[in-house]
Amino acid sequence: MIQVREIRKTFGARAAVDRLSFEVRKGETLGLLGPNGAGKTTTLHLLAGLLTPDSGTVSVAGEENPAQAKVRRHLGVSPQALALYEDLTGAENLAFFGRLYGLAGAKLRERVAWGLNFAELTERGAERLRAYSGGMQRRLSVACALIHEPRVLLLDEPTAGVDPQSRNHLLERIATLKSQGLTILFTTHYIEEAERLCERVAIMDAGRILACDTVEQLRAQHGGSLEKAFLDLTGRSLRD
Amino acid sequence: MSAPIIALAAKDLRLLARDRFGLFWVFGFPLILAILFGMMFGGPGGTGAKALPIAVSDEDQSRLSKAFVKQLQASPALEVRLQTHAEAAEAVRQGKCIAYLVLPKDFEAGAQPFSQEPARFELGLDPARKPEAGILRGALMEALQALYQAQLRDPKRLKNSVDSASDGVRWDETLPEAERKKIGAFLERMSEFLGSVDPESYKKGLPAQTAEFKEQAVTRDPSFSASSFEITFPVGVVWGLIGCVAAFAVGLARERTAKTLLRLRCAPIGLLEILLGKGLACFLACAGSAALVVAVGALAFKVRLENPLMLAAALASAALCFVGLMLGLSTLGRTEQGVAGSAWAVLMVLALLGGGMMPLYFMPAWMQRASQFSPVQWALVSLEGALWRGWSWTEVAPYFGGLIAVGLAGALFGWLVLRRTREQ
Repeated sequence: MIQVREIRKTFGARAAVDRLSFEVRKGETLGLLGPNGAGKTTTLHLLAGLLTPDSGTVSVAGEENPAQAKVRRHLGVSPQALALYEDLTGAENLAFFGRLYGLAGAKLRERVAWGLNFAELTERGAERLRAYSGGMQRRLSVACALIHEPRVLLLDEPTAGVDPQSRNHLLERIATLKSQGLTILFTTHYIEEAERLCERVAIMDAGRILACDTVEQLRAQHGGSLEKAFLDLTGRSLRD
Repeated sequence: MSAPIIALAAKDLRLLARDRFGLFWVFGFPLILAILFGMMFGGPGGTGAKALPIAVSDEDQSRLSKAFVKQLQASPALEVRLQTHAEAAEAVRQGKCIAYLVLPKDFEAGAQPFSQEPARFELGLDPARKPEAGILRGALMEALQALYQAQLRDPKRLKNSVDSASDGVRWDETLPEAERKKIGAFLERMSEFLGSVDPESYKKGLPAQTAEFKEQAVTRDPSFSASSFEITFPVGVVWGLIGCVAAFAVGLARERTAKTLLRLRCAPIGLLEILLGKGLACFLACAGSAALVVAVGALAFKVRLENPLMLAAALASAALCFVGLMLGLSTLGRTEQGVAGSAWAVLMVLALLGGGMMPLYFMPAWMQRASQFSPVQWALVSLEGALWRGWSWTEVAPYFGGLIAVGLAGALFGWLVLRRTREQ
């Protein structure tokens, strides 16, 4: 479903992504695990067509240019930032993003109701986002990425800054989507999230993939712990 | 028009509707400005000028000085406040009056016809009110002229002046003997004439002394007279457009800082559609603001809509122009503060040059020339042309064209900048 071949993206003299290659099969969940500045978000933006690679190719749903409208219709993106309108209600945010993907009428209403239910916000869908907690907003952000029933979901640190309850809720919902056959690529700092959701994990640092394998294989290769694998591969020095 | 563009526009209008401060600049401020300035400049049928307050101190207390003060009080251009010399000077210093006028003790001697000395005044001006000083001098000269006229029409008093002048000439050694005799003979004959003539017959037979101006508003309809509201409501419309630009220009920067632009760019729409959606929202807000100001002007303040079709075209052209400016300005910064600062700076200069902040005739010549290149002035002229100047389509066409061209240029600039910075 996603194929990345030797992509490179530089900002000035710095290579944010350096000859990166991987693939995500249909219905698979791949976790991009890496420290700050590893190039995870840049990789996601390249997959979403927000950035153009300097070299290499990105293919999503069989199409080479993810900036094309027909590719984007199959892509759902939940950015690292909440990226929602605080002065619109939860339902209005969902409806607005639904309309951008061509939804209208009964179908739009149905999807808005689905989105509110997904985010556990059915009772508070008519409230403006200013009144929502961080966890509620994060749940809604993911729901907005799913409003148009995409075939591929790109999640950029979907549980950043939320309380354990909202995180658990989100992870349960993502697991449900995964069981329904959705192809998911998500970035995270949290090793337990990758262990809980992913068939395979790619450990990234300095714009490169250092290892990409199943969780079991990575554990087996690094003393039975994914965290140990992560630290073995990326080192223990601070990145901030 | 595609559904996403309409969705983007509807979203931006909804956000505007929930921003009370933004709403005020788009709908409230233009109306307040049009009404307040219309009332300040005289209201319906007003002349567009407020009486100038002046403090007058009559130290002569003579018949002519009192008559002169009466003439000043009768002038619609002046609001006369009688005070002592010290009080009058203090009133100007405090900014309560634009000038003070002192009629000195020898005022009457100089205010008579045939006087060898001129009428003398002391005029103290507020340095901050120089533009009105010319109007004040004109009003003073008009009153003095009226005073002379009144004396020329009274043969008895005029005879006294002539006799006095005759005495003066008789003893004036600066004149050659022969000339003194000629002038003296003329004045004596005049005195004899004034002493013998019937005052009523004299008044009737005296030719008119001054010119009479038949004033007429230069519009297609000669009976038309523009009220001050017909001047200020087009200005209100333009300020509504400026408010729309200011409110919407920060929208794109807000989308950028809140990262919603990133989510928009993930949707199956292009940058052009995003800009068009924002442009449509701004256009509809401009149209709504302008329609409200025009409707209130027409219904409550009797602003005449001489050519509604041309007015609609003028509003559409002006709205397109300001939408284009908004799209261009919205890309001038990456933060809301940066865009807001740039937008207001550009808009203030355009408004100042275009006559949106002060009448063009108060400006120096170079600024008046520069105003010909301000879209604010084009918008004002177009609106006035449609509302009451009675312009033809041929006359307004260049202004409409200029407004649309600026709008397209602004939109193109915005699109190019957005394209160039899309990966930043």
